[in-house]
Amino acid sequence: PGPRAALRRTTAMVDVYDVREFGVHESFAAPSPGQEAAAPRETTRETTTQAASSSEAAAPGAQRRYADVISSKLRIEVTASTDEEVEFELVGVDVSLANALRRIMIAEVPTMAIESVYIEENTGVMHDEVLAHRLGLIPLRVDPNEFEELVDPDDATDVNTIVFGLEVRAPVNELPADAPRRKLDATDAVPDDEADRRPGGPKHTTRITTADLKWLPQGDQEAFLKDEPARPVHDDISITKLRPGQAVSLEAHGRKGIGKDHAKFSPVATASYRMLPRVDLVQDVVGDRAVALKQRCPLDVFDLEDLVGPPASDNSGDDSGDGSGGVVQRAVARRPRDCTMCRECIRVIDDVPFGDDMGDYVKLRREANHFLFKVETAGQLAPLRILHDALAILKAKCDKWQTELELSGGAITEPDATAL
Amino acid sequence: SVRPQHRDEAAEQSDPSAAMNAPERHKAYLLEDDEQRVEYSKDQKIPNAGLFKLNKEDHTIGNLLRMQLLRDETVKFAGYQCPHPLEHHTLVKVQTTGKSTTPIAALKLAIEDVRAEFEHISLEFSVRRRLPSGRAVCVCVPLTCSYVSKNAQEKVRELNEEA
Repeated sequence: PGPRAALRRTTAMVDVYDVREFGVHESFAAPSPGQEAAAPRETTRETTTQAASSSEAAAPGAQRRYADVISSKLRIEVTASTDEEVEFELVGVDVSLANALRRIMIAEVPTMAIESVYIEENTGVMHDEVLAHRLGLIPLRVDPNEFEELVDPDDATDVNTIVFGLEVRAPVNELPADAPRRKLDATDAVPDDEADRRPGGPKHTTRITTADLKWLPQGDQEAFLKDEPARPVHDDISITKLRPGQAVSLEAHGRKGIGKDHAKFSPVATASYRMLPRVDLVQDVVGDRAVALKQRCPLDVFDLEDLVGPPASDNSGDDSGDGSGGVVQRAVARRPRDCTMCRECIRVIDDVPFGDDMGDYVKLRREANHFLFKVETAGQLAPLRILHDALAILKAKCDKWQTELELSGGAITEPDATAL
Repeated sequence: SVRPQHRDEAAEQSDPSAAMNAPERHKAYLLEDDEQRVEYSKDQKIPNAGLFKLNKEDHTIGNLLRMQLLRDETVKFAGYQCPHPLEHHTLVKVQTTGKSTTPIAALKLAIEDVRAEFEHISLEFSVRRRLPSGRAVCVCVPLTCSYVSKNAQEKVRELNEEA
């Protein structure tokens, strides 16, 4: 095992680490950043070009331009946070970075899910593979950090596999011998939980739900998972249904995986962003036109504010319908954040005052580097935890790249003589 | 599905359609035995130009690095491709002015800058402490999180005691 083996290891998501200070972060505004920033700089430079050392030495000032610039223009704010969803704003980054974050949250943040199902008995109507597929989609509340990835299916151990048992036998129904056979009618369609489960009850259908899944701790799992026993996120997901006498008995093995492998591993219901809308009024919208505009917007983006207008008798070019008071109102886009880009404000409506040329007054645009993220969890991990893991994964990827580039050092040469 | 090691033959016999159609999912992100993560080839005709082949990577990294490279004044050309959706690699082509950087140096710098940006973002979401010893430490404790790992909780406690 050489350096390559190390690169193959599972991403370690460290909770505590020493900060590599590339620029000056305001919470660390202390004298040392200069030295700490310079030190990693030297080591990286040395391994690249040896010949151009003079230009490298001059470079640090020029190079750190980017890291310093980050601090000044990047802004993050969490605007809403619940157990299910977090909304935050990321300002001052490029779309490629925001998109990378989104893609990682969807496809590369690991979770645990059932993968292999060993069925001992299934006399229910649902086929084995369909049942197994459904089990795979059940979100499991298990911290994936406690587990390693399962590389070889033959090598399932307590560090890479989690086991659930499912054993349900539908009670045999006892009908009197002379009960008439009757056709099922509409009144049979609605299941009633209590009646369903009561042995011999009128409906006689046993529903297997997530509540029936039992965690079977293996090896040391009971110890290292003692505060947070493994369980499905929800206890009321219907898995399948059984009629009297039918039974399901199986053992389900789960492993750690990522969304890229199978969507069941994706921790997010979805993670998305939109760019902050910008509603520009390229010409002043005043008077009756302003009133019309405000009424048009279904999201109430516009407000009317008073202007001290010219005297009513003066012809100012726009229709200021207010003849007596002299107070003219102007429309402003007060809540661009609420805009959904429905374009109702600029839609051409015939035969209506101001209906056909609003588009000359209002331009709907978006702010380029202002992202409104919404991350909704599927339940395995908290939304901010998903974000944290995504950032850790991205950082680990960068570190892996750097290591790889150093290892491929054979190809590094001096700059070519003909500089352009 | 996980990477089958010695199971390959058995799997192929029992499910021939899988071998003929889509490749296995893990091939999208796990390196092959004979693959390196990065392969660099210097351009034979153009000075200070090279092509990086990033194996088992996609647009996530490709676009990000490309955009960062373009911010570098010494980079004359930067572009990326994911040539085929069924072949899991990304190409990044870089040409520098040659005055002070090579393509490899430019890429390393780009990676470093991107790393710094991610670091900055994650710092915003975490508990930061400057310990008396001068060591700067960061505990990534997602705020208002119901699933804060025990490790993180303990570390925050330790930090608070130490600081």
